[in-house]
Amino acid sequence: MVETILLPVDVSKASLWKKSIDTAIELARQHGAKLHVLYVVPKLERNLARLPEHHKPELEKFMRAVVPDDVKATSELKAGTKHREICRAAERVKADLIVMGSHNPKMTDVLLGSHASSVVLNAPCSVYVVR
Amino acid sequence: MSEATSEPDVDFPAETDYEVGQDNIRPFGLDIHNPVFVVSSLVVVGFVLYALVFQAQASEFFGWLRPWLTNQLDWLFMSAANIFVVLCLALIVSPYGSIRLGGEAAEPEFSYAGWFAMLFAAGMGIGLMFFGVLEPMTHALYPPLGVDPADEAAARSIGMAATIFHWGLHPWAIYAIVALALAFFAYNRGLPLTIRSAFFPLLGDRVWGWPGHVIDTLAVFATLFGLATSLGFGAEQATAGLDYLFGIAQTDTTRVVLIVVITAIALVSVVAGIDAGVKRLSELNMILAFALMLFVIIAGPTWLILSGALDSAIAYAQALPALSNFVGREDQAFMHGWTTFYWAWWISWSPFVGMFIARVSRGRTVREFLICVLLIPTAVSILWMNAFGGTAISQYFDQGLTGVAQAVSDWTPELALFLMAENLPFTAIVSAVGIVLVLVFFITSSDSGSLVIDTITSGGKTDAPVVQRIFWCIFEGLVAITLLIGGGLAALQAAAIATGFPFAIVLLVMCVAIVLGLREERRILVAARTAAAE
Repeated sequence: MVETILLPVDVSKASLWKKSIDTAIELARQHGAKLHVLYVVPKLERNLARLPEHHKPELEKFMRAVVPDDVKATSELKAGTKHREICRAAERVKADLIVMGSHNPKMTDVLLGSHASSVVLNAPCSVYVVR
Repeated sequence: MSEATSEPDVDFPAETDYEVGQDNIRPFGLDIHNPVFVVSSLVVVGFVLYALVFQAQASEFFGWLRPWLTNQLDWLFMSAANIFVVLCLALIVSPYGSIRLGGEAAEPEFSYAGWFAMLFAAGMGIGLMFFGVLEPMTHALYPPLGVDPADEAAARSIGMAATIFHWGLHPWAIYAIVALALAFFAYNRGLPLTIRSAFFPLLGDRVWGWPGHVIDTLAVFATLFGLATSLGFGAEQATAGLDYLFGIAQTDTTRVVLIVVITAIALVSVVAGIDAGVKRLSELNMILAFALMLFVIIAGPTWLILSGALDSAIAYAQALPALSNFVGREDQAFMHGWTTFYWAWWISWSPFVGMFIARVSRGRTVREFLICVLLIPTAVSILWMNAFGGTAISQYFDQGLTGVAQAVSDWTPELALFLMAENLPFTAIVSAVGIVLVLVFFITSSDSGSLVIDTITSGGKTDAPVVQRIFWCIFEGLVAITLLIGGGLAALQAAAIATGFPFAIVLLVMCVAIVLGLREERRILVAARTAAAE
């Protein structure tokens, strides 16, 4: 039984993650599960005046625009390293499933491993990697 | 965002209707703060034109301005810096020390290790490369405070102490004041992270009007000219290094080409927005700088450096009162040529470094913040100066090698680092690493400097168009070039002092604002606690 689905999204590039977003919404509908949208931003940006909480409006806009009304959804903004915050959030909200996208392996991904692979490695629950 | 860092649940009276970017104008797709951008860019353009068109006159003017400013304003800079140190120390022991930046419930965003690394990074720069070898040697040969140069032990000791004085508590107190003000008013009062916000308790909503414009414009000038001074030092040193290694002639043309190339690289990173690239570059530079220091410690007189670090910390503490005093000093040349210039230079850097420190210190208490910001970079400076300067001093006094001493008496400061490296193993590699360090510091400072200036001149907007950053990046390079041509290092120093002067007054007023803000915060917190207890 899937009750809570964690959907980590880079809200600023939502179009790139369309596939995983659609999949997560679909799964949430099927299972009647709650969707928890997690937006992880860097702790420190080069533009110093931009604080993590300044990204809140982007997330709110995303929730209004992309997440349909018939799906029960919550959202959360976190500052930190993506894969670490995703795993932490999964534990915190007791997610049964993480749905996330995986971008095409680029050079840096070969060297460092994509976020998805680190999450798969460390997640406390099942992970659905959308390709 | 986690609940921990959200707004404090007590009501604070920093109510303002100001909205970021409300006074901005948007010509040609720009998004700029009308008076601040227009005034500061016009003045900078005018300045560059004047210095280029009337080169001879400008050169003479700067040559006169530098000593005039330090002679006239020594008391202001020195008493201001002393006030900052005393205020920082007083706040550490005062009850205000327990106030947390970001509100009662805020948690530190960065671990201690990460935070320390970033404080350390903020304090590193071209200056340490330029002065690390040169300054201790200079003060050992021409000691301040009337120490007899013939008394070797005393001269060596005061040489290190005087250098640490210029790189220790005073500069970091200057940065700490700016950073504390910015952090407090941004995190505890929810105002934009920009210089004028610190004046809210004194000016109220007027900080969004012309008094605020003046403050921000002064911050822009200070940052621009402080940065140009560092870039000038960097250009001098890198050119000297290239000459030393590859025999490339040290002419103005070489320096100008160097500044143009470096600015172009910084420009590429600004245009392409390769944030990760610059971040890695600066991390790499930290590692490289640390490795260079370790190498010098190991290859140089290891025991002397390590024991010297402790000795010179003690010598520094002993000489601190005498060096900070500006009344009835005999060693005017030292006080004006070095101390006053340094204080002005640090003050001109303070908006830049202060903003960075403020940004990484949310969630720390005032006490924790001040202790760490004051002590950790000071400790690093002590070690750095002992490694580089201590090695040079030992080469001269213990081994009879006169290279660096010669550079001091001929006054070719940009050569000092390379002449010290000459007597260490792997000279060529060490010199090359030195040049790379200077160049990378150059790129990262120019890049982040244009970011900070852009943030200020776009009225706190965080997503201003990239064109504006390009503009500031180019002008930093241009200012450095014009100053170098129009009078060399003396012109750079004159510019840093000239812009440091008004900003010193801004900082003094900022001290009052900090105390007022902290007092109010404490009053409210105590009231809230008593109310909760009843």
